[in-house]
Amino acid sequence: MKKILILSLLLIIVFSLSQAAVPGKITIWTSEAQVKALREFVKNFSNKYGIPVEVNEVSFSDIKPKFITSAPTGEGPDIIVGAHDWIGELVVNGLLLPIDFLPKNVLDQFTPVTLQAMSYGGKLYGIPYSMEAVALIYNKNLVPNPPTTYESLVRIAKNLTKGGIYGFLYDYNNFYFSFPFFSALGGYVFKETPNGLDPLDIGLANEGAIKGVEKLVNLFKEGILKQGVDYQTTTSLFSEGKLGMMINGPWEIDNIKKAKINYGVAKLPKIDGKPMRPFVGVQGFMINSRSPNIAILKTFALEVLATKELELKLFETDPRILARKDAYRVVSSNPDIKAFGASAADGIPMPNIPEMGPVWSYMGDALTLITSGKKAPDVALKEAVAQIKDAILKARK
Amino acid sequence: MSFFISFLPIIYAGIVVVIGIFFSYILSMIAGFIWGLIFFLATFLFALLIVNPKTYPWKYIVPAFLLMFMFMIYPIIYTIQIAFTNYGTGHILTKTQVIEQLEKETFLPENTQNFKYEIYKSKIGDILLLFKDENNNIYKVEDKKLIKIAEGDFPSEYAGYKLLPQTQKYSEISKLQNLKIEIGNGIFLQMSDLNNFSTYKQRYKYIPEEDVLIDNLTGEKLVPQNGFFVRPNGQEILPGFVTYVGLENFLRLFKDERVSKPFVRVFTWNVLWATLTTFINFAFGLFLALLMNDKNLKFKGIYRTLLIIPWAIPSFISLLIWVGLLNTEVGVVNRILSSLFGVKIPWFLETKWARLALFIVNLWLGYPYAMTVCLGSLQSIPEELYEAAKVDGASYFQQLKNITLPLLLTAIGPLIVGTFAFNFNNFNVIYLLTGGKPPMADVSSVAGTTDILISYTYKLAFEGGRGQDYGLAATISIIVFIIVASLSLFNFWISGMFKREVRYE
Repeated sequence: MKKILILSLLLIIVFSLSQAAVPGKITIWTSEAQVKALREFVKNFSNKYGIPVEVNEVSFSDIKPKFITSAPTGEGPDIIVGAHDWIGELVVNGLLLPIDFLPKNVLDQFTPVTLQAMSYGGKLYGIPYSMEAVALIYNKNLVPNPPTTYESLVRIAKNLTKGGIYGFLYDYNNFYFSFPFFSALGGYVFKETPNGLDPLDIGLANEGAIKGVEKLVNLFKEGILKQGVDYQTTTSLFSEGKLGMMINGPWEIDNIKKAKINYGVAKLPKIDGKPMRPFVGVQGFMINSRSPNIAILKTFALEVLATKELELKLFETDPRILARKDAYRVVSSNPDIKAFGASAADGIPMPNIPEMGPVWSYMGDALTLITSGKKAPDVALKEAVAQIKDAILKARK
Repeated sequence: MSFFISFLPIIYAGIVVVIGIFFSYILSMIAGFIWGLIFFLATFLFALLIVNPKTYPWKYIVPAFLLMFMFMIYPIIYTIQIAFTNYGTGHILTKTQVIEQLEKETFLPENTQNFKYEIYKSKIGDILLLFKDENNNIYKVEDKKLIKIAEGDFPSEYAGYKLLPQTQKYSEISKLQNLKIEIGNGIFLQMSDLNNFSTYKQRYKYIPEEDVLIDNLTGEKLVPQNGFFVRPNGQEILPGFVTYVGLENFLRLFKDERVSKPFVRVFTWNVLWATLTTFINFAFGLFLALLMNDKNLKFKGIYRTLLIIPWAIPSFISLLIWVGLLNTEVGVVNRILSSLFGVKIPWFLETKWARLALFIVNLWLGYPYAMTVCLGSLQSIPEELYEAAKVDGASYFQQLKNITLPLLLTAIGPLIVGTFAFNFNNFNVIYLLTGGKPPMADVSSVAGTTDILISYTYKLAFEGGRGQDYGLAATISIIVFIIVASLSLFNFWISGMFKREVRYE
């Protein structure tokens, strides 16, 4: 009897796991933060058209790999809520529907950078809902006024760094966090062209990039940045109140609040009068190209996914910088959102093409060599860019 | 109770048949009726084997074989198969799926038209669609033609079909949304959203006889090439599909300088790593085991439990903790060292220190296993040998050298070889502790100085050029398998030689 019970339980699990796209029903995969709000919000649509909408919770890091394995076999959901840097990989795999059916007056409502981020090869593949970018997070007890220039950052940080207190640290060997140093004076990852990004025009070793990275190296020379610091070190020192400033993103705010730190968020300082431009990450809704419900989804996208009301509803449980300008205006009274929003406004969408893979690994290595003093910035960056190009060409054959 | 037990095989067989029916149903839906039938017959045969007392042993052997096939042999075959394909980012759909997807693509003909629509139902449930264009003309479709039947509003009834009320309109959506209604000249009507139908033309048409795709918009012939449909001007159509590429993945490995240049260095370190870490772990494990085995030692149970703890903690967790402990700036280890001796060791930043850190951490992770294995073998060495040795006046170290070690090594030799193979491919420790870093400063490669073959190839296949390259990854894992297998064979051969020299006299 027990065996049969266990078996039937197993069968139920097997069935409940197959949350696949079914004709006449919309299935959405999203991560924990949005599930509840989305479930409540889609009820209106369900009632209006009599079409059931099922919102399933899938952990954020699982959505992309699960979608890639399940969508080709027809087992995937109709819609996923994901990050814009998945788009390149999903599109070359043929798994996303181009969003060419939204009228221009709707698209005009979105902050342009979010649409740019969600595009691949000149076509839009996702409906943006929020964005994020790193900014300067500081401890108000240690840093009453955040620096607005690189020089004042150096001065404040240098004065703070002593006796177990650190002035300014961040995960500098991670290209994501160090990119603002590259971008401030004119470095870029891939050149923007009308047909999308050109993966063979890499601007990470141009004059601006090298100058910017020299500013980063200077922080070591001044004794501000320390060897062997990583993300974990940075955040734990900040939560202990031993760190004055760090480069970090909105996802860390919850932890900082829990640690009861009197914090503030500011734009990254300017280098030689130019803003440090962080990578912008955009989250949004993507539609499965193999869904049997395309016609329904087109209406659903227009009446639900691209609306101001949905963004505001999602904001209630998960405050983010909203992608629609009218929705953002409503929520920008929140100082954190406003500061991160200002930082994102300066930002550059993180490239979403699959060629970004080698950039992460080679630039990470180059930064490690530079920050540990093994190589000069210009040498390391030029080598890394040559390697990235080589890797991209080899993969193309 | 015994009555119940005598029925157990039948219950067992019953469950097997039920599961068989369930899965053959699913299988016949996915793969076709024949496969479902084959699967059902197979499970039925197996059920017969269970019920028949003569074929009794088979009820254990068959599942074991099945599981072995499913979890060991099939993955190997699958890996080998993938090594000969371009499976990876950009090539994950099959050719059939890509054709199906491309044939769904449409383009708008000149003078594209939009239609409102209404659904009509007859008494027996047949469905009829009527369309209204922007000039309020009402049409029906017959013989692949739009025929105008009225003007103005939709009629409430037409030719015995009744207009479906708005409240029920959308309940038929799932049937309507993939309808393609031909209206001549290659133009068809398709739902553009919940409230509209529009005219479309099919973009691509596949011709199986010639194995080409025709682009109806440009009139070009697209031929399959390197896993893409390619236009005459060389432009590849996304998405690509999985195709066999022969030995290309293998050739890439040998031709690619990024791979061949650092290969020798990575390989040397890998052998050094696997040999040394295995030796250190077993030496330390043996030392502890000898202590634990001492009859005069009290509280053995407590010591043993404490020493086993590193084994009980999942290595993922302890590795991440070690990364923190060894942090150059704020790690506990360096804090202690700097307050005692005033030095800060650049763990993970310098090659030699990173390697030392790996040995230390893997010792922490690996000695409990070595110790347990040695303890077990020590206890199986007959006591009389030691008594005889004592009578002959042998010292402790003479006993250790002439009795304990030879007998012990015979017993645990194969386990040492196994541990060697495990450490040779110990991806977790390398990837989570150092990530292969620090990078090689003098070779332009993705390889780091602490990368072993498996972590290095992981970087090549998954952080290399464009997303995931499963084909290359499979190729590499086959090569790593061959290397590990031959090294292990060599080790077994060595330990086999050793075995013959031991004499029980």
